[in-house]
Amino acid sequence: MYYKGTLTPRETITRTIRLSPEVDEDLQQLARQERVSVNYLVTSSLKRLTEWDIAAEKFGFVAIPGFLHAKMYSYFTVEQARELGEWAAKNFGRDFILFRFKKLSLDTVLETLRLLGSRYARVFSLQHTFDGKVHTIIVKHGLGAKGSVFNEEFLTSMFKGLLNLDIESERTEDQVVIRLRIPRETRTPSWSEPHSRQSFERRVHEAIPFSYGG
Amino acid sequence: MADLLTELRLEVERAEPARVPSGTRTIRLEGDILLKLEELANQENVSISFTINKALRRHVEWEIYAEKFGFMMEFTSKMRRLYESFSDEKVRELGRQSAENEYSEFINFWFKKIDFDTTLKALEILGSEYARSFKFEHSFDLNMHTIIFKHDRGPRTSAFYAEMTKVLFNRLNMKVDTVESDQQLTITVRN
Repeated sequence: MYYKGTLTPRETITRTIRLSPEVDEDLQQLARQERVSVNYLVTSSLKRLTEWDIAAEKFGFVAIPGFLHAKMYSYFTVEQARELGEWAAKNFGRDFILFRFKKLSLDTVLETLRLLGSRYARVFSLQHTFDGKVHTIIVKHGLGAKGSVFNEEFLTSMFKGLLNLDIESERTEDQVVIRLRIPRETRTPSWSEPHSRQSFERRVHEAIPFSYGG
Repeated sequence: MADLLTELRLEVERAEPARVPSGTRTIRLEGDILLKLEELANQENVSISFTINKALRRHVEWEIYAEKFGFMMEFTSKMRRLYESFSDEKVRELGRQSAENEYSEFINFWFKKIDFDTTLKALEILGSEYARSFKFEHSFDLNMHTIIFKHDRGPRTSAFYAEMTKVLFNRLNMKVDTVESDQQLTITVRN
Protein backbone atom coordinates (compact mmCIF):
# COMPACT_ATOMS: atom_id res chain seq x y z
CA MET A 1 0.00 0.00 0.00
CA TYR A 2 1.24 3.53 -0.71
CA TYR A 3 -0.02 6.91 0.32
CA LYS A 4 0.03 10.19 -1.55
CA GLY A 5 2.52 12.53 0.00
CA THR A 6 4.54 9.82 1.69
CA LEU A 7 6.13 8.36 -1.43
CA THR A 8 9.05 10.19 -2.98
CA PRO A 9 9.42 10.07 -6.79
CA ARG A 10 12.44 7.79 -6.84
CA GLU A 11 11.14 5.34 -4.29
CA THR A 12 9.86 2.16 -5.84
CA ILE A 13 6.87 0.16 -4.86
CA THR A 14 5.77 -3.33 -5.82
CA ARG A 15 2.33 -3.76 -7.23
CA THR A 16 0.53 -6.85 -8.44
CA ILE A 17 -1.45 -6.30 -11.62
CA ARG A 18 -3.63 -8.54 -13.73
CA LEU A 19 -2.57 -8.86 -17.35
CA SER A 20 -4.31 -10.54 -20.24
CA PRO A 21 -2.38 -13.71 -21.21
CA GLU A 22 -1.67 -12.35 -24.72
CA VAL A 23 -0.09 -9.17 -23.42
CA ASP A 24 1.91 -11.07 -20.81
CA GLU A 25 3.15 -13.56 -23.42
CA ASP A 26 4.08 -10.76 -25.83
CA LEU A 27 5.92 -8.94 -23.07
CA GLN A 28 7.89 -12.05 -22.14
CA GLN A 29 8.80 -12.70 -25.76
CA LEU A 30 9.83 -9.10 -26.29
CA ALA A 31 11.89 -9.12 -23.09
CA ARG A 32 13.76 -12.21 -24.33
CA GLN A 33 14.38 -10.60 -27.75
CA GLU A 34 15.66 -7.37 -26.29
CA ARG A 35 17.46 -9.05 -23.39
CA VAL A 36 15.78 -6.94 -20.75
CA SER A 37 13.46 -7.83 -17.89
CA VAL A 38 9.69 -7.76 -18.21
CA ASN A 39 9.71 -5.25 -15.37
CA TYR A 40 11.91 -2.95 -17.44
CA LEU A 41 9.49 -3.13 -20.37
CA VAL A 42 6.51 -2.49 -18.13
CA THR A 43 8.19 0.46 -16.44
CA SER A 44 9.35 2.03 -19.70
CA SER A 45 5.94 1.73 -21.35
CA LEU A 46 4.21 3.22 -18.31
CA LYS A 47 6.76 6.02 -18.21
CA ARG A 48 6.01 6.65 -21.85
CA LEU A 49 2.30 6.82 -21.08
CA THR A 50 2.73 9.38 -18.33
CA GLU A 51 5.48 11.46 -19.98
CA TRP A 52 4.26 11.52 -23.55
CA ASP A 53 1.23 9.57 -24.74
CA ILE A 54 -1.44 11.38 -22.78
CA ALA A 55 -0.19 14.84 -23.75
CA ALA A 56 0.47 13.77 -27.36
CA GLU A 57 -3.03 12.42 -27.80
CA LYS A 58 -4.68 15.45 -26.26
CA PHE A 59 -2.50 17.84 -28.25
CA GLY A 60 -3.21 16.08 -31.54
CA PHE A 61 -0.03 14.28 -32.53
CA VAL A 62 -0.36 11.71 -35.31
CA ALA A 63 2.04 8.99 -36.47
CA ILE A 64 3.42 9.19 -39.98
CA PRO A 65 6.14 7.20 -41.77
CA GLY A 66 9.39 9.13 -41.46
CA PHE A 67 10.44 8.67 -45.08
CA LEU A 68 7.13 10.08 -46.33
CA HIS A 69 7.91 13.13 -44.26
CA ALA A 70 11.35 13.40 -45.84
CA LYS A 71 9.82 13.13 -49.30
CA MET A 72 7.40 15.95 -48.52
CA TYR A 73 10.26 18.22 -47.52
CA SER A 74 12.07 17.46 -50.75
CA TYR A 75 9.14 19.04 -52.64
CA PHE A 76 9.54 22.32 -50.75
CA THR A 77 11.43 25.39 -51.81
CA VAL A 78 13.96 26.68 -49.29
CA GLU A 79 11.67 29.62 -48.60
CA GLN A 80 8.69 27.32 -47.92
CA ALA A 81 10.77 25.20 -45.55
CA ARG A 82 11.90 28.31 -43.71
CA GLU A 83 8.36 29.69 -43.42
CA LEU A 84 7.09 26.37 -42.11
CA GLY A 85 9.86 26.25 -39.51
CA GLU A 86 9.02 29.70 -38.22
CA TRP A 87 5.31 28.91 -38.25
CA ALA A 88 5.88 25.65 -36.36
CA ALA A 89 7.87 27.40 -33.62
CA LYS A 90 5.35 30.22 -33.23
CA ASN A 91 2.35 27.95 -33.21
CA PHE A 92 3.20 24.38 -32.25
CA GLY A 93 6.29 25.27 -30.17
CA ARG A 94 4.69 27.86 -27.97
CA ASP A 95 1.35 26.07 -27.71
CA PHE A 96 2.86 22.69 -26.86
CA ILE A 97 5.21 24.10 -24.24
CA LEU A 98 2.37 25.96 -22.53
CA PHE A 99 0.09 22.93 -22.85
CA ARG A 100 2.64 20.51 -21.45
CA PHE A 101 4.63 22.62 -19.00
CA LYS A 102 2.43 25.70 -18.39
CA LYS A 103 5.33 28.15 -18.75
CA LEU A 104 7.92 29.29 -21.27
CA SER A 105 11.53 29.13 -20.15
CA LEU A 106 14.82 27.80 -21.39
CA ASP A 107 14.23 24.67 -19.33
CA THR A 108 10.82 23.98 -20.85
CA VAL A 109 12.04 24.65 -24.40
CA LEU A 110 14.91 22.22 -23.84
CA GLU A 111 12.57 19.69 -22.26
CA THR A 112 10.25 19.97 -25.27
CA LEU A 113 13.17 19.34 -27.63
CA ARG A 114 14.14 16.37 -25.48
CA LEU A 115 10.63 14.94 -25.84
CA LEU A 116 10.62 15.50 -29.61
CA GLY A 117 13.99 13.76 -29.81
CA SER A 118 13.00 10.92 -27.51
CA ARG A 119 12.02 7.38 -28.48
CA TYR A 120 8.45 8.50 -27.91
CA ALA A 121 8.18 11.06 -30.71
CA ARG A 122 11.22 10.24 -32.87
CA VAL A 123 10.97 13.59 -34.66
CA PHE A 124 14.75 13.82 -34.60
CA SER A 125 17.72 12.64 -32.62
CA LEU A 126 18.93 15.19 -30.10
CA GLN A 127 22.17 15.75 -28.30
CA HIS A 128 22.49 18.54 -25.78
CA THR A 129 25.53 19.53 -23.79
CA PHE A 130 26.20 22.49 -21.51
CA ASP A 131 29.71 23.50 -20.47
CA GLY A 132 28.64 26.13 -17.97
CA LYS A 133 28.57 28.93 -20.55
CA VAL A 134 27.30 27.56 -23.83
CA HIS A 135 24.51 25.15 -24.61
CA THR A 136 25.26 23.08 -27.71
CA ILE A 137 22.22 21.47 -29.24
CA ILE A 138 22.66 19.03 -32.11
CA VAL A 139 19.60 17.88 -34.03
CA LYS A 140 20.06 15.01 -36.46
CA HIS A 141 16.90 14.59 -38.49
CA GLY A 142 17.48 12.59 -41.67
CA LEU A 143 15.08 14.78 -43.66
CA GLY A 144 17.55 16.12 -46.20
CA ALA A 145 18.58 19.67 -47.06
CA LYS A 146 15.08 21.23 -46.90
CA GLY A 147 14.45 19.41 -43.63
CA SER A 148 17.60 21.08 -42.32
CA VAL A 149 16.29 24.48 -43.36
CA PHE A 150 13.02 23.72 -41.57
CA ASN A 151 14.72 22.52 -38.40
CA GLU A 152 17.21 25.39 -38.32
CA GLU A 153 14.39 27.92 -38.59
CA PHE A 154 12.28 26.00 -36.07
CA LEU A 155 15.07 25.93 -33.49
CA THR A 156 16.18 29.49 -34.16
CA SER A 157 12.62 30.75 -33.80
CA MET A 158 12.14 28.75 -30.61
CA PHE A 159 15.13 30.36 -28.93
CA LYS A 160 14.97 33.81 -30.53
CA GLY A 161 11.24 34.21 -30.92
CA LEU A 162 10.10 32.55 -27.74
CA LEU A 163 12.96 33.46 -25.42
CA ASN A 164 14.72 36.32 -27.25
CA LEU A 165 18.09 34.64 -26.89
CA ASP A 166 21.01 35.07 -29.26
CA ILE A 167 22.15 31.91 -30.93
CA GLU A 168 24.54 30.73 -33.60
CA SER A 169 23.46 28.00 -35.97
CA GLU A 170 25.12 25.70 -38.48
CA ARG A 171 23.33 23.51 -40.94
CA THR A 172 24.34 20.52 -43.03
CA GLU A 173 22.13 18.20 -45.07
CA ASP A 174 20.96 16.06 -42.15
CA GLN A 175 21.94 18.00 -39.09
CA VAL A 176 21.55 21.35 -37.37
CA VAL A 177 23.82 22.63 -34.63
CA ILE A 178 22.70 25.43 -32.32
CA ARG A 179 25.02 27.20 -29.92
CA LEU A 180 23.37 29.24 -27.24
CA ARG A 181 25.44 31.46 -24.98
CA ILE A 182 23.83 32.41 -21.70
CA PRO A 183 23.44 36.19 -21.51
CA ARG A 184 24.00 38.10 -18.30
CA GLU A 185 20.87 40.24 -18.55
CA THR A 186 17.33 39.14 -19.28
CA ARG A 187 15.27 40.56 -22.13
CA THR A 188 11.61 40.79 -23.09
CA PRO A 189 10.45 38.04 -25.42
CA SER A 190 9.36 39.23 -28.87
CA TRP A 191 6.35 37.22 -30.01
CA SER A 192 6.01 34.92 -27.06
CA GLU A 193 3.28 35.34 -24.49
CA PRO A 194 4.16 37.54 -21.54
CA HIS A 195 5.63 35.56 -18.71
CA SER A 196 7.58 36.27 -15.60
CA ARG A 197 11.21 35.60 -16.30
CA GLN A 198 13.30 33.92 -13.70
CA SER A 199 16.93 34.76 -13.20
CA PHE A 200 19.08 32.97 -15.72
CA GLU A 201 21.00 31.16 -13.03
CA ARG A 202 17.70 29.76 -11.78
CA ARG A 203 16.40 28.95 -15.23
CA VAL A 204 19.42 26.96 -16.27
CA HIS A 205 20.31 25.46 -12.94
CA GLU A 206 19.20 22.05 -14.08
CA ALA A 207 21.07 22.22 -17.35
CA ILE A 208 24.18 20.49 -16.13
CA PRO A 209 26.16 18.59 -18.80
CA PHE A 210 24.07 15.77 -20.14
CA SER A 211 23.09 14.28 -23.47
CA TYR A 212 20.45 12.02 -24.85
CA GLY A 213 19.82 10.29 -28.14
CA GLY A 214 16.53 9.79 -29.92
CA MET B 1 -10.40 5.82 -4.58
CA ALA B 2 -8.26 4.35 -7.33
CA ASP B 3 -7.33 1.45 -5.09
CA LEU B 4 -10.97 0.87 -4.42
CA LEU B 5 -11.71 0.87 -8.16
CA THR B 6 -8.83 -1.49 -8.75
CA GLU B 7 -10.04 -3.88 -6.12
CA LEU B 8 -13.56 -3.74 -7.52
CA ARG B 9 -12.30 -4.56 -10.97
CA LEU B 10 -10.22 -7.44 -9.66
CA GLU B 11 -13.27 -8.83 -7.94
CA VAL B 12 -15.21 -8.72 -11.21
CA GLU B 13 -12.40 -10.47 -13.02
CA ARG B 14 -12.20 -13.16 -10.39
CA ALA B 15 -15.92 -13.70 -10.62
CA GLU B 16 -15.80 -14.10 -14.40
CA PRO B 17 -12.56 -15.90 -15.17
CA ALA B 18 -13.83 -17.47 -18.36
CA ARG B 19 -14.86 -14.16 -19.88
CA VAL B 20 -11.72 -12.21 -19.01
CA PRO B 21 -8.81 -14.63 -18.80
CA SER B 22 -5.83 -13.00 -17.15
CA GLY B 23 -2.82 -13.74 -14.99
CA THR B 24 -1.15 -11.75 -12.25
CA ARG B 25 2.31 -10.24 -12.43
CA THR B 26 4.13 -8.34 -9.72
CA ILE B 27 6.05 -5.30 -10.91
CA ARG B 28 8.17 -2.63 -9.29
CA LEU B 29 7.31 0.94 -10.21
CA GLU B 30 8.89 4.27 -9.36
CA GLY B 31 6.70 6.26 -7.02
CA ASP B 32 6.09 9.20 -9.35
CA ILE B 33 4.88 6.92 -12.14
CA LEU B 34 2.43 5.23 -9.82
CA LEU B 35 1.08 8.57 -8.59
CA LYS B 36 0.61 9.78 -12.19
CA LEU B 37 -1.11 6.53 -13.11
CA GLU B 38 -3.43 6.90 -10.18
CA GLU B 39 -4.23 10.47 -11.21
CA LEU B 40 -4.85 9.38 -14.79
CA ALA B 41 -7.07 6.48 -13.75
CA ASN B 42 -9.09 8.83 -11.55
CA GLN B 43 -9.52 11.32 -14.39
CA GLU B 44 -10.78 8.62 -16.73
CA ASN B 45 -12.79 6.89 -14.04
CA VAL B 46 -11.13 3.51 -14.59
CA SER B 47 -8.90 1.31 -12.45
CA ILE B 48 -5.11 1.54 -12.44
CA SER B 49 -5.03 -2.05 -13.71
CA PHE B 50 -7.08 -1.04 -16.72
CA THR B 51 -4.78 1.92 -17.44
CA ILE B 52 -1.66 -0.24 -17.10
CA ASN B 53 -3.07 -2.97 -19.36
CA LYS B 54 -4.00 -0.40 -22.00
CA ALA B 55 -0.47 1.05 -22.00
CA LEU B 56 1.16 -2.38 -22.20
CA ARG B 57 -1.14 -3.48 -25.00
CA ARG B 58 -0.21 -0.35 -26.94
CA HIS B 59 3.46 -1.13 -26.38
CA VAL B 60 3.31 -4.71 -27.71
CA GLU B 61 0.78 -4.04 -30.48
CA TRP B 62 2.11 -0.75 -31.83
CA GLU B 63 5.18 0.89 -30.36
CA ILE B 64 7.75 -1.80 -31.00
CA TYR B 65 6.72 -2.10 -34.66
CA ALA B 66 6.25 1.62 -35.21
CA GLU B 67 9.73 2.35 -33.91
CA LYS B 68 11.32 -0.35 -36.04
CA PHE B 69 9.45 0.75 -39.15
CA GLY B 70 10.35 4.40 -38.64
CA PHE B 71 7.07 6.03 -37.73
CA MET B 72 7.46 9.44 -36.17
CA MET B 73 5.01 11.73 -34.43
CA GLU B 74 3.90 15.02 -35.93
CA PHE B 75 1.29 17.46 -34.74
CA THR B 76 -1.79 17.44 -36.86
CA SER B 77 -1.89 21.14 -37.72
CA LYS B 78 1.60 20.90 -39.21
CA MET B 79 0.52 17.95 -41.34
CA ARG B 80 -2.44 19.97 -42.57
CA ARG B 81 -0.15 22.85 -43.44
CA LEU B 82 2.31 20.52 -45.18
CA TYR B 83 -0.40 19.04 -47.41
CA GLU B 84 -2.03 22.39 -48.07
CA SER B 85 1.26 23.91 -49.20
CA PHE B 86 1.33 21.56 -52.22
CA SER B 87 -0.72 21.90 -55.40
CA ASP B 88 -3.56 19.45 -55.94
CA GLU B 89 -1.56 17.75 -58.71
CA LYS B 90 1.55 17.43 -56.56
CA VAL B 91 -0.26 16.03 -53.54
CA ARG B 92 -1.99 13.42 -55.72
CA GLU B 93 1.36 12.39 -57.18
CA LEU B 94 2.72 12.11 -53.66
CA GLY B 95 -0.24 9.91 -52.69
CA ARG B 96 0.36 7.57 -55.64
CA GLN B 97 4.09 7.36 -54.98
CA SER B 98 3.55 6.73 -51.29
CA ALA B 99 1.14 3.87 -52.02
CA GLU B 100 3.64 2.26 -54.38
CA ASN B 101 6.50 2.64 -51.95
CA GLU B 102 6.09 3.58 -48.29
CA TYR B 103 2.60 2.21 -47.67
CA SER B 104 3.30 -1.04 -49.56
CA GLU B 105 6.41 -1.45 -47.45
CA PHE B 106 4.33 -0.76 -44.36
CA ILE B 107 1.80 -3.51 -45.24
CA ASN B 108 4.57 -6.00 -46.00
CA PHE B 109 6.46 -5.12 -42.82
CA TRP B 110 3.40 -5.52 -40.63
CA PHE B 111 1.63 -8.48 -42.24
CA LYS B 112 4.29 -10.13 -44.48
CA LYS B 113 1.94 -10.18 -47.48
CA ILE B 114 -0.23 -7.80 -49.47
CA ASP B 115 -3.85 -8.76 -50.14
CA PHE B 116 -7.23 -7.16 -49.54
CA ASP B 117 -7.45 -8.16 -45.88
CA THR B 118 -3.96 -6.95 -44.97
CA THR B 119 -4.44 -3.72 -46.92
CA LEU B 120 -7.67 -3.07 -45.06
CA LYS B 121 -6.05 -3.93 -41.72
CA ALA B 122 -3.14 -1.61 -42.48
CA LEU B 123 -5.53 1.27 -43.13
CA GLU B 124 -7.33 0.40 -39.91
CA ILE B 125 -4.01 0.59 -38.04
CA LEU B 126 -3.31 4.03 -39.51
CA GLY B 127 -6.74 5.06 -38.25
CA SER B 128 -6.35 3.40 -34.86
CA GLU B 129 -6.08 5.18 -31.54
CA TYR B 130 -2.34 4.50 -31.75
CA ALA B 131 -1.46 6.15 -35.08
CA ARG B 132 -4.42 8.57 -35.27
CA SER B 133 -3.74 9.47 -38.93
CA PHE B 134 -7.52 9.64 -39.35
CA LYS B 135 -10.65 8.13 -37.88
CA PHE B 136 -11.39 4.90 -39.71
CA GLU B 137 -14.81 3.45 -40.47
CA HIS B 138 -15.48 0.34 -42.53
CA SER B 139 -18.70 -1.39 -43.54
CA PHE B 140 -19.51 -4.12 -46.03
CA ASP B 141 -22.79 -4.46 -47.87
CA LEU B 142 -23.76 -6.28 -51.07
CA ASN B 143 -20.24 -6.89 -52.34
CA MET B 144 -19.21 -3.31 -51.69
CA HIS B 145 -16.86 -2.12 -48.98
CA THR B 146 -17.34 1.43 -47.79
CA ILE B 147 -14.36 2.97 -46.01
CA ILE B 148 -14.31 6.41 -44.45
CA PHE B 149 -11.25 8.40 -43.41
CA LYS B 150 -12.24 11.34 -41.22
CA HIS B 151 -9.12 13.45 -40.99
CA ASP B 152 -10.22 17.09 -40.52
CA ARG B 153 -7.12 18.34 -42.34
CA GLY B 154 -8.40 19.92 -45.52
CA PRO B 155 -8.92 19.04 -49.20
CA ARG B 156 -5.30 18.24 -50.03
CA THR B 157 -5.22 15.55 -47.36
CA SER B 158 -8.34 14.03 -48.93
CA ALA B 159 -6.66 14.16 -52.34
CA PHE B 160 -3.52 12.47 -50.98
CA TYR B 161 -5.43 9.61 -49.37
CA ALA B 162 -7.77 9.23 -52.37
CA GLU B 163 -4.85 8.58 -54.72
CA MET B 164 -3.12 6.39 -52.17
CA THR B 165 -6.13 4.10 -51.69
CA LYS B 166 -6.80 3.92 -55.45
CA VAL B 167 -3.31 2.56 -56.06
CA LEU B 168 -3.48 0.16 -53.10
CA PHE B 169 -6.80 -1.41 -54.19
CA ASN B 170 -6.45 -1.11 -57.96
CA ARG B 171 -3.40 -3.34 -57.94
CA LEU B 172 -5.57 -6.00 -56.27
CA ASN B 173 -7.84 -5.71 -59.34
CA MET B 174 -10.58 -3.99 -57.38
CA LYS B 175 -12.66 -1.05 -58.51
CA VAL B 176 -12.32 2.03 -56.34
CA ASP B 177 -14.43 5.18 -56.21
CA THR B 178 -13.75 8.08 -53.90
CA VAL B 179 -15.73 11.07 -52.71
CA GLU B 180 -13.51 13.84 -51.37
CA SER B 181 -14.54 16.61 -49.04
CA ASP B 182 -12.49 19.04 -46.97
CA GLN B 183 -12.50 16.97 -43.81
CA GLN B 184 -13.28 13.45 -44.97
CA LEU B 185 -12.68 10.87 -47.67
CA THR B 186 -15.26 8.21 -48.55
CA ILE B 187 -13.98 5.20 -50.49
CA THR B 188 -16.03 2.44 -52.06
CA VAL B 189 -14.25 -0.74 -53.11
CA ARG B 190 -15.76 -3.62 -55.08
CA ASN B 191 -14.53 -6.56 -57.13
